[in-house]
Amino acid sequence: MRRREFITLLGGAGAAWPLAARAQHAPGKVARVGIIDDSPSWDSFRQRLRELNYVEGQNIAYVYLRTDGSPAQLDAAAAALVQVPVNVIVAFGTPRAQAAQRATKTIPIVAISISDPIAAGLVTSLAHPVGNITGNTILGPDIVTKKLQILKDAFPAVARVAYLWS
Amino acid sequence: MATADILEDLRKATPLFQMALTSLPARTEVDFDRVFAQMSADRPDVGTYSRMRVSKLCESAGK
Repeated sequence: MRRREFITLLGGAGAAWPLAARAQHAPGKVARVGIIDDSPSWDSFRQRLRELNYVEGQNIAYVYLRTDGSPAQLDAAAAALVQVPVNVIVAFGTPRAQAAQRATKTIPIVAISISDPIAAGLVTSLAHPVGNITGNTILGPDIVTKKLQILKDAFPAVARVAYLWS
Repeated sequence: MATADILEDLRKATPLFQMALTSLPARTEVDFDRVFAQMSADRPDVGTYSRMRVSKLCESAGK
């Protein structure tokens, strides 16, 4: 999967760190995707997978587990996904990604919308992550320039940027 | 990453990509009318925001 495809897939406005782990998908098999706390945020994710010919009920299945957001429930949900087992865990936000990280060192984890993956202990480097985690980040050290670079690559005509802050 | 750091990084980085930056501080709810009027009058190509704090202001404004 190329980097730009990855960013589009996740619908992220931030930067992606390189894909270090991939879910293996053999023809004829159903890939199981584990999601902790389903929400409308995942609609674009599922839509993009459909566009990539991953059709629910045919060659992909989603395993959803809901939690109250507490660390104990997040850990329990992540552990349950590992027990299924799923082929990949996708986690929105740092607490879910960290729970998935605690649950498995082998199943690929896609961590989405992470503030600072290095500070969170998910990866040691954005450029060269190791282990079974990949994903994107929304804010973090050295990210501003990368975001602008991605923006310029995607939309070369962009010349005026407004920053709303408090 | 603090908002001030992001703003400073944006100020440094935008010229590298032939972009101009407009800083739009909105510290209170009443600032939003001014900020959005400014953006309507002088429309940027793209907008970004400091996520957490502005989100809280949006939530507050919606109550």
